Amino acid sequence: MSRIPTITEQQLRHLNPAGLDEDFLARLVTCASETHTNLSNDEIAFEARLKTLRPKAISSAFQTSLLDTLGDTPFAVDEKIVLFNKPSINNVAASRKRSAFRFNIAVAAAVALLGALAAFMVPAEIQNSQNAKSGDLPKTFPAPFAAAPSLVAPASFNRNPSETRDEGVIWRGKNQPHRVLRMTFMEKVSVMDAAGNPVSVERPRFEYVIIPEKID
Amino acid sequence: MSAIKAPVKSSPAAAAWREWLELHAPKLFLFARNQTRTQEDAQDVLQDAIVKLVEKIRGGEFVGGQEAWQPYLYATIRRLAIDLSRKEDRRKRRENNVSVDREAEQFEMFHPWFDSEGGDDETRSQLENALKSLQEKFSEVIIMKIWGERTFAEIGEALAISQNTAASRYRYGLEALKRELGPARRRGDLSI
Repeated sequence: MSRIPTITEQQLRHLNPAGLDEDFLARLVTCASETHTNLSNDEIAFEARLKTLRPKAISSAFQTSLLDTLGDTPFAVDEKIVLFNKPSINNVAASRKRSAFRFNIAVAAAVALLGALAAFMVPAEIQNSQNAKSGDLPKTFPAPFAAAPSLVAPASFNRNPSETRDEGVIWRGKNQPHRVLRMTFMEKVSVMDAAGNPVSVERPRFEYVIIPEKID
Repeated sequence: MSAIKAPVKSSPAAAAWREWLELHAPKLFLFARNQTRTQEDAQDVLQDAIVKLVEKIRGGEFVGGQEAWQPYLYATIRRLAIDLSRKEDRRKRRENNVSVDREAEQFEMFHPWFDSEGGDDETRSQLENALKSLQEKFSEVIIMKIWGERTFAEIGEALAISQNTAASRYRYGLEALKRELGPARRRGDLSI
């Protein structure tokens, strides 16, 4: 529309907008002065009376259902502490098997090391005489390895954490920051030889723990 | 609020979640009931909201710590309730089944929103009815502010309104509640 008829325009100009009611005006004033969210004493008192009624607790069946939903979701206590679920029984069993396997390997490695040391300690003339009698290399190795297990016995095994280091923050998929912690464990195997002398072998082991991190 | 008895899982996270739910789930459930038509709908909506929270936490997508869970859950409950309501409306239009509403109303009578541990069932019942008679845009703000213990800023964010609008709706809702409860209060029938 290019032009409003003059007579209509004049008639409209005679109309005045209705005034605001006092309540609404007061509301606008409090909004403008940024005090609208402050409650009056009466409102606070009524609020406190209402608050004496408490929401009904959810049923235990529903709560169990919610907990099942949560499953093994980690629980963030704060920015630094995140609670993780213990692994399930199957995982625990598997973890124990892995630990036992690691222990067996460590013991076997220690035994092998002792066997090798024992081989070096066998007098040279005995080796020479055995080789001289056969005239060739022996078909079966004269085996310090075979004799070693009977010479030593496992005494103890420790894998205590020796150091924990913050390696900083990495960014994984979907732009989520994670803090990396490096934990160092010193595994120590002690065995006793036939004479009852202790022999120890130490081996470091490293584990990396990755925790979701909040960065503003 | 009675303590919930259920088998306790041994892991620290499970125990922490249980404690968190015992503290906050009743408030969230009250809000879900305000937003939905039946107790079952409220349970579905709350559970779905928690599933969405869990998925975000597991996927490393959730921004913020524990303090951000409740604002997220309030907003999600509201969104899911709106979605559910639209689906229900479509279904009802198809089935033209008014008896469903009546059954739901009767069912609700046996599933109160509030505890009446102190034996003041009259107060609970009057307040619940008054709250239900309010327009949802007022009752949702009152529930979030009083029982959800949210600030006007948080309420505004969850409902996609300004904090001043949240405060206005809250005041209007409180006034309407006072009017609704007025006669009973003057008679001395209410303990609040």
